[in-house]
Amino acid sequence: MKKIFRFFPIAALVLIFSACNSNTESVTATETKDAIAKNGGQEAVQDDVSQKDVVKIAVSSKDHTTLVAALKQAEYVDDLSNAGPFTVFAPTNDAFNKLPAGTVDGLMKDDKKADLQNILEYHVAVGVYKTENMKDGQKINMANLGDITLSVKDGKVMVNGVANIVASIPAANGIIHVVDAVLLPPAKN
Amino acid sequence: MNSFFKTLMLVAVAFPIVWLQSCKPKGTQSAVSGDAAAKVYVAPGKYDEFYSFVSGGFSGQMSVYGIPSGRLLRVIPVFSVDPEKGYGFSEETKPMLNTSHGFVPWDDLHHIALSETDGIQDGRWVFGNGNNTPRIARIDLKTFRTAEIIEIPNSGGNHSSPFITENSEYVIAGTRFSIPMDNSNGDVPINTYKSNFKGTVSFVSVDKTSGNMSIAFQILMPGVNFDLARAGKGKSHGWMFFSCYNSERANTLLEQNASQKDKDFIIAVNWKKAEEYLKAGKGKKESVKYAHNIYDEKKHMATSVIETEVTMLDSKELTDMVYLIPCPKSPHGCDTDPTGEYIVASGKLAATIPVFSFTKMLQAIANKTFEGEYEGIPVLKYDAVLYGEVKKPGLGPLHTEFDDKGFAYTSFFVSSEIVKWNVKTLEVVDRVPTYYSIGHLSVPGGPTRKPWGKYVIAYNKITKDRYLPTGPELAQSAQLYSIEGDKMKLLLDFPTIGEPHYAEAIPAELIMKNSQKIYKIEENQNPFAALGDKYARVERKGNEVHVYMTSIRSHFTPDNIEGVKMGDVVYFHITNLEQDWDMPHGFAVKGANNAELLVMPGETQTLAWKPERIGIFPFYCTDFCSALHQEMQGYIRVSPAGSNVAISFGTGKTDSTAVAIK
Amino acid sequence: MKSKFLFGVALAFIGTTLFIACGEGVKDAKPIDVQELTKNQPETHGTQIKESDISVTNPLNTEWVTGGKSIYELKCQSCHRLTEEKLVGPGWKNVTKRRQPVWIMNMAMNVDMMLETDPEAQKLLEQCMVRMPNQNLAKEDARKVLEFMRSNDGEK
Repeated sequence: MKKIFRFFPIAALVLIFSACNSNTESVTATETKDAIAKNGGQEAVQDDVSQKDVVKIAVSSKDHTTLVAALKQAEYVDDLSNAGPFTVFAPTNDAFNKLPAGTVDGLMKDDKKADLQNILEYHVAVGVYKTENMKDGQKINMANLGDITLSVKDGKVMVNGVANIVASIPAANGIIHVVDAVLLPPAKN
Repeated sequence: MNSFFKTLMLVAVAFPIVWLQSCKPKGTQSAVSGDAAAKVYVAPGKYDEFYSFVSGGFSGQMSVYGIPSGRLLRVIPVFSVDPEKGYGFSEETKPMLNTSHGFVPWDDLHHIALSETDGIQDGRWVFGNGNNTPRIARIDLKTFRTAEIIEIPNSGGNHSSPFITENSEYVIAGTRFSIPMDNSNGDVPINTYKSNFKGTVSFVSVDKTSGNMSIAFQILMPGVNFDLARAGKGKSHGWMFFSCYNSERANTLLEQNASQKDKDFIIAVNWKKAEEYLKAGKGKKESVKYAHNIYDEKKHMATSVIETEVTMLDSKELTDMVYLIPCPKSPHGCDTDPTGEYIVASGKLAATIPVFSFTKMLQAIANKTFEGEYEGIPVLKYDAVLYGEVKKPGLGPLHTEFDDKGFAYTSFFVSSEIVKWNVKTLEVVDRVPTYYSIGHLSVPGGPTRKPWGKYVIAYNKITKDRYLPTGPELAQSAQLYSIEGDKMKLLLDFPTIGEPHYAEAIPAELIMKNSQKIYKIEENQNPFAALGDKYARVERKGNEVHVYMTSIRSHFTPDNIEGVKMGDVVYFHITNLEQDWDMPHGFAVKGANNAELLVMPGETQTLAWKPERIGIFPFYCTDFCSALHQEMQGYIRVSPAGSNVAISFGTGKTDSTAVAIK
Repeated sequence: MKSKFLFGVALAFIGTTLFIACGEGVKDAKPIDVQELTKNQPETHGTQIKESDISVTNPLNTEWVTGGKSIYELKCQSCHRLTEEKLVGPGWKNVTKRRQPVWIMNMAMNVDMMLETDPEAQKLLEQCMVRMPNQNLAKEDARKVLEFMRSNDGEK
């Protein structure tokens, strides 16, 4: 509800002016970028029959509450409910807990949203990458444009030398690889 | 009421609306401003402001909608047979679907190109591509009928097509799938892709008066996948820009293997230079086979000719004709702005939109600012050509259209939204969600030098819960937004036939003033026409029986036919003698392994029928034509093979005029 | 929660009504009035023929008779016989004796107008049950057909 109230005065003004004043432009032009509506996703589609998408799988997992909270804060819930397909490397709650104390809380602050988005985008690739097709040394370019590097040993896949894929769950719009560490994007040049 | 109270009251009223919406499930409905209904309402008997020509995707057809109402006006059969109109079923239209592979009754129509003069839509023709068995079709906008289809040789699938140049000099055809060339031995292991598979782009010229197409030349290209394209305009007229992916040249699991490199390419082709090389005889004649089908408006009949040669220009050998611009992550959309200065490339896996400058590209070429070569073609330095990047606009940018005020509208599949940005400053100024996962988008005149603006239409890939459910298979979902103000405003959802990819809209007056109403019966040159009842007759030629039949409210002449025998093939040549607008007659005969005919006023069409059993077979008019439509019928008698029933026919009591001719 | 919701609905409803009421600025969809354009078509019917437009003289113009005959065969014969026999429409024998030239010309060119205004034409529709189709005849064409009718009725 907090967000709604923040937007309310602007929205109310827009409604008034669009209804009774032909000079809508001058008002809406002052609208801040934050107020730009954004909810183009299928998250709200009522469907209990179809296979679950990556978001619904994450939401239903008790080991991924931190990830789900982060996705919500970064406004990626809608995006990841869409057609994709996506490969999502999903760190468990334990994985988040391995980060230095306070890291997650810091990232969940509104002014750190861009950083949080960058980290989350580094966990998502467009396309379905199954473990059986992963090759040692393979690079995958992630949604934030950074690469991850895979290593394969005895059939076990490791990402960036830090995160093990501990389980893989096919989803309606892609695949989730559960990982035991958070992937941190390389510093941008 | 003083204004203070008025304002206060409106705030009080507006609040619950906002509040209510926030309590609804997100995404299923969205704020539609109060006057949206008025903006899309076209009163009974009034006309829409724009025609929108919408590709039919896997239906193979093209549909026509009125904008802003979103009303379906017509489905034009193009690459697929259409029993409703007899297209591909009548003997006259069957040749339209002939190819070097034989009769191909289906295709996958992705993109639309309206003809242009001086970079402005002129409303003469609309072109569409066949993605599967590579073809380009031209539809005549006087009749809204497919007038011509040309097959593209040396192509594995015609996706990067038919994007048109600003004076309709060319429509183009870039192959989506690289393949071994048609005149080489194609029986090679698939994993020899890198050595044996090539790409081509074809420049198909369009005759200024007749519109007839002809493959002027092809350019031999590296074996990548050609995706989309856009012609230069204004200052960049003479260039064509193609997007491509799979510069890795993978031949399996492209989902992973074609996404390895950070950058693929925008391929810039200087087609004026190519014309010079062609003139100088630098092209190589290649032997190929492709069908070229033309519908004759006077004969009401298509002919299909198999052509056997194209001229190929090699991008490796002929310098200064093709340049590569590196572009992040599998570029898809490749769009030029109305000035022709900016080339907007959308890497579909990327999170930025690079905008290239035509002026900087020419400088980079002049200064040879290359970062290397790819398959013998110079690769320009990214930074030397880049005007700037639209930063973090959304996820999965696909296509960009332009308005008349200097703004660009880019569709984002993954984040399911349209993002409006300023072409000069590259700043994002607005975004609206689409329902769901938009593919192409369309602004009237959006790809031309003169956008008409006013609306942007989203053609979405996912429908889910937008309309009343109709089982697993749903209507396609489109949304209409107003772009007249600073903010885009959702006005309307409208369902479309499957599956829209690109669409182009054009002001109604540019088309409707030329729209044809009837075929003049005096100009009917169909060799099987019966121009008047005097010529209505039945003739036997071996085992072919030709029925030359006329139709007018509310009877066929002849309507009683005898003397047909098992083993015969009966050709019903129906001439509609009506000369009144909207007075087609249909024709159907029981048991025909075919479809109906739908014959326009003044037109002649032919249905072939091979009787499968002995007996009496009724035929009738299928298109309700008059108060006595139900009476518009007849019988044809089929006798055993050896029977001595003679050919006879008539209408009415004793039709002396009809019987007299044999 | 429920009462709040209802309250909201009620207010929203009033709000909508208000918006419309105060909405001088609500713009018409403004579709271009392109109705005019449909008139610019290669159809030649629609102009009423007046008695003064036609002159009927003897001897017959043989060129018109021949021209009228081919128009008849192409556009009229399906429904009209040259005898008194009624097929879909009346037979043409003696039509020039039953009807004035101006009536015949208008019937050939302006069926819609005749069926709206002329009692005789309306009677024929009751008998024949089929509206005579507009066969896109120009004035010269209709005049030729008239000449052919006169010849069919034995004029020289």
